[in-house]
Amino acid sequence: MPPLLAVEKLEAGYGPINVLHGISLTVEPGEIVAMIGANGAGKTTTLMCLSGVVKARGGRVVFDGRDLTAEKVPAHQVVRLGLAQSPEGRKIFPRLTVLENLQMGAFTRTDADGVAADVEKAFTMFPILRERQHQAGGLLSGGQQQMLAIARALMSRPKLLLLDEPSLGLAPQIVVQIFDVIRELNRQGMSVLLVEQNARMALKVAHRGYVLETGRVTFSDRAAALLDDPRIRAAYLGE
Amino acid sequence: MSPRAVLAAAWQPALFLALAALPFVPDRQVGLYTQQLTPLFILALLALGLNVVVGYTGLLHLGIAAFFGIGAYAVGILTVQTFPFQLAFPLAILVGVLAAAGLGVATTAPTLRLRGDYLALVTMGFGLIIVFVIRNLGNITEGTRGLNPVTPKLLPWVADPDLRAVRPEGMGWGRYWHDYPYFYLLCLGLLGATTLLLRNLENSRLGRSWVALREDELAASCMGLNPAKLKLTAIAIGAGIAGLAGGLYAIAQQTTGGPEAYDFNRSMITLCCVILGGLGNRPGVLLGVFLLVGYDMVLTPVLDTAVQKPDFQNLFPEWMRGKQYLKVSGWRLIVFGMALILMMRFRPEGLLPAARLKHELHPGPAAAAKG
Repeated sequence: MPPLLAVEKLEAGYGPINVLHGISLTVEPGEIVAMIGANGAGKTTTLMCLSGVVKARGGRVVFDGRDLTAEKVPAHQVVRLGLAQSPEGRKIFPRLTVLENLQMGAFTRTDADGVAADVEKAFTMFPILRERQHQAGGLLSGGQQQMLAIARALMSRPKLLLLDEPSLGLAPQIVVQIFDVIRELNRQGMSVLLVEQNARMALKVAHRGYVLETGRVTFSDRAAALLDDPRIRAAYLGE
Repeated sequence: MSPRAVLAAAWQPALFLALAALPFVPDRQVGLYTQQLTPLFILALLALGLNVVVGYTGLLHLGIAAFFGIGAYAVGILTVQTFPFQLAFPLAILVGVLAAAGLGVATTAPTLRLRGDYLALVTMGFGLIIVFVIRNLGNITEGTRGLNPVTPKLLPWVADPDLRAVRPEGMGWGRYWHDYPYFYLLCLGLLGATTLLLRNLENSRLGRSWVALREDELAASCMGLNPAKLKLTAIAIGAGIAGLAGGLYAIAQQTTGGPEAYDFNRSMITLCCVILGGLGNRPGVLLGVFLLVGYDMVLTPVLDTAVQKPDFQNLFPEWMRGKQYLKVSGWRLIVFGMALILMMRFRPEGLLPAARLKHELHPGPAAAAKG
């Protein structure tokens, strides 16, 4: 079976600066893959490249049998192909209500009944969102906003969910909750590419992991093996 | 329904009907005042157009008057005697709307990647350029004199009816369709239709996409929205409505007037109306127009006449009499500026804010109770 997502020698950058110097990674169907690394390693840029928001300067991104780079698929079409992102910093629409935020996530879909059913599913998964469905998204707490961001990304019924720093700025207890949600989603069959600074949490939940340093993949292995690797432990797990 | 809910639902249609009934009041004096509302309706259309761009979509456009001018001059060129077109009203106004919308798209497309202040600067430049184009393209626009008379026929192939036969006597009703009160009712009708159209648009998929784009462009494109297309649709609709207003303005005045009617001041005052009333909220925008333009065009002349009476002028020493600062109109831009500063300090969301903004700027017990 071919991988759901295959990235080969991806290069990208901003203006005169190249950020990614040939990133290669794969995500198999049903897998959680974690990408860890320090600030500026190129984690977010990689995700933005996959979503088409940042243009690749070299290499290939093949998703679900389609070559996104060669076909020059624009950002707004990528979602239709089944690749949804919950961006860094959550990026909730602060003045839209919780319900409207969710509906906006289903923007590419036209089946009103299916969307309503998925809103219901999101409310079952995150009961707090049902309670607050008519409140402005900006009034939610950080943890609730992160739940909303994940639920919103799921509304397009993606095949692969890209999560950028879901633990950013959240209390440790909330982070645990968020990672439980990710594990539960994966148990239901969702493939996830997870970008995290919180390397320990990410590697605990993931099947495989990649370590990025200044735009290159320096390690890649099963997540459990990375957790045991003394070099990773020293550099990223604070031991 | 509670009385409050009834009021909220009914005040707009009620106001609309009351305004539509005004010309039928059998009093000539009332008619003279009512007549002055026509330009108010036209400038309300202009503000509603700007509101689509600035309020809904969040693109700070400082050159809306350019589209107003394009609409006016398109209708002027297509109807005056000096050109061979002489189209009837519906065709001319349609071309005016399409020309403004097309120019809106053409000038916005190259600037799609600009945001915030940078976009504002480009649109301001565009607004200034149009004024110079109108002034210097004398062969077509008659320069500072303006095109006139702009008196198109109501319908193609049919001579305009002489309405003297059907009008009631003694109420100051005009002879042709572009006279009071027929044109007054036409403008009011178009304003009503546009308001309805925009109300439906706000609640549509497109309307919500605009809001999402305004809130967060990155998140919006992660949701599969196409920001370029959305921005161009917003500017096309906004500029189109401004073009409609421009066409009506030229017909109301029976001339395009000089280019100064479409300059930066016009853009700014329209923007002030939108901000004063409540960015993104239709009734608020209409209220803003009513207050600011009403002050500017209706109240100022009345007060000016009052303060020019010798009784008032004689209160001041000889050398001050008759100077600009002893006229209300001399203070008008200062009044606008003061109004904006006070608004920004005490009520940044506008007089009648959109519900979303009110939530954000004053998250009070109402918001908490709702959850």
